[in-house]
Amino acid sequence: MTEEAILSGCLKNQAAAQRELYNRYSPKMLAVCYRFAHNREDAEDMLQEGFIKVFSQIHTFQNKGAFEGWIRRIIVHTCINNLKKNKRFNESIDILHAGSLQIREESIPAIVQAKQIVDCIRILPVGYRTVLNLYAIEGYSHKEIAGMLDIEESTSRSQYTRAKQMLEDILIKKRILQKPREKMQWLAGM
Amino acid sequence: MERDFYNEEFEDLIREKTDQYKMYPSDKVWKGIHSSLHARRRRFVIGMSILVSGILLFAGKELIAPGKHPITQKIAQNTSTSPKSASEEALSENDQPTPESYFKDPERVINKPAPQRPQTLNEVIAFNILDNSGSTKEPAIAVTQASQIDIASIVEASPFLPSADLSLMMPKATVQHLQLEATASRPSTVISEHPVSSTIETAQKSNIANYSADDKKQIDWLQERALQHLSPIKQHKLNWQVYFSPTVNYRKLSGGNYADSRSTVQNVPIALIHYGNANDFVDHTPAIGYEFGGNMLYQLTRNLSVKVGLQFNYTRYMIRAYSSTPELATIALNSYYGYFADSITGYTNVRNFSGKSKEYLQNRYFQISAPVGLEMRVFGNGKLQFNIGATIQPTYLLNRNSYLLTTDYTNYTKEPSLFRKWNLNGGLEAFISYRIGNLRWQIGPQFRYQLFSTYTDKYPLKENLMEYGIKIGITKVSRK
Repeated sequence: MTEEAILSGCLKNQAAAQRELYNRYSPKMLAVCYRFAHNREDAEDMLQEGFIKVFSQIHTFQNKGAFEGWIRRIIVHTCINNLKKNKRFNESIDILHAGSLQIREESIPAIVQAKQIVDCIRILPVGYRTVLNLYAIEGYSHKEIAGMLDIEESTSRSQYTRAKQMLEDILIKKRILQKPREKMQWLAGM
Repeated sequence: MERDFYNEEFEDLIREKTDQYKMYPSDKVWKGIHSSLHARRRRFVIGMSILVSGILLFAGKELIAPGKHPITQKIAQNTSTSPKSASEEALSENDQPTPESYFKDPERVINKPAPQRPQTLNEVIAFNILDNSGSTKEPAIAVTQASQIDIASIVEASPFLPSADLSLMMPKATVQHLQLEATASRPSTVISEHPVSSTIETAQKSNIANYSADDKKQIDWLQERALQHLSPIKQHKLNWQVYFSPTVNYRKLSGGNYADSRSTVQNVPIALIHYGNANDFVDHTPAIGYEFGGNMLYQLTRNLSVKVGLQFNYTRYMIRAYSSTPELATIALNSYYGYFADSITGYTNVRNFSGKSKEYLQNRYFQISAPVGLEMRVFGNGKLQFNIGATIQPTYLLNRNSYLLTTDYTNYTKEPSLFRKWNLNGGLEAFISYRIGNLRWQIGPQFRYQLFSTYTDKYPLKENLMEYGIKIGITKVSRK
């Protein structure tokens, strides 16, 4: 089914077209939700709510830009609203315990690394994690993030800096990432 | 610079790796999405169809095909039982006729058969002289000495001769006359008709007179018993009503003056430029909806009834808006403690003030409620009346399709989580009613107002729905 056919079917509220759209984009979108959520169950709840919004607002998609990007924006906003509704921003995880995180390894190295990085992102406190997800991965500006999270732009910048530093420390600790100084020395030695 | 280069590389790495990562949701996610998009509507349609069909069937049964009269029902019950033999059905001496037996077989009550006694001269002569057609025939009775003795003994033993029958009411004197005649004649005297006929005619005449008197006696008895034992037909206190009302629906907006220092909404968008009452910034117009339902009315007094029922409302109104490119829409939510800021953001392509083209939005609500209230007759007689009524209606929001205004009044967006499921409505009505048989038809204006806001307390604006219409109803007045 082409994307046009899926869109057309979804506009007519056809279940087959909706299922096709869901199958095509749900794996990636669940990964997006997983980065924001506290656990997998919360991530699936966010995904469900997000796709319901996608189907009910599909008539507002005006074929400008990628369809995946439009869906992703709705999913991200749903995640943010969910976090705010459940007041998850008050939770925090002691960064010292990040070292005890058990990460299951899979056979394909690329996926291993991707999963590891996602798991490390999820270790971060929810406020840091959200700003990092929105800025570094989803590509929102600090001004847009400030509007979505009801914070100041400067707060968004400082939160992001701290989040990135913390994530870097976790990745280095887990040997997923090399220390920057070591890397630059290695590059200089080449 | 080294750091900047590393920062960019770090961000690229993070972005690349997280984009590669995929997770597969469980089946229940799709089931939840599908049921939300399809089954809910199907259940709603099925549920409403059952409810409407049930109300209409019940109303039709009560109004169009009313139940049988209780007395005829009882008669039907009695006649449907297995037929009794003649002897069983015969009333015994001590069996007093009842109103029921009168209705069953009036003739039998009036023409109570003679009690079982030894055959008398009376009965014998009657049998031989008079047949069903009333014609007379030659008697063929042989009166012997033995018969005479029998007759005499019978007459002596039966001073009271049976009456009120086709058999003759024969005075004692006549019998004695016959006796003498029989004695005077030859032993095998056949009593001829002619001597008997005149006697019979006299007897007949006296019988008619006596028959009438007896009838009169029994009718008097019947009337007396009827007054004592038959209760008058009185009106039942429980009545049933169905109604329908086309309505004009509207809403009243309040709240939203964020510039006020007392406003609990602290996190208004920086670009807020519209201050004041939301009603001044929206363009909404009434639209037609409808309401229908059924009530059970219990008559407390002659003029006052209490009613409870079930009602369905379809409410809607129009909003003039404009289509636009998708843009971010923020709904700032109420903060309860003054320091906790909260809001909901989303994308919308509907603007309030200006845009690419004009668009009319339709806010629709499907509600079910249980009105409880009073109905009072102000003036009128049994036929034509003027009544007023008032109800309180606990209401449940079955479904809705409506848009919310954003905090800065710039856009319209949808947010289902901000709608109340339960609400309370108040209703007032006045109507004229006219009775035709067991049905009372009514027509008159009605007004309904939603007491609590359509939205939860989180949403800063308050919306109170209101509707007015013409209510047409039919009430079945039950009788015992």
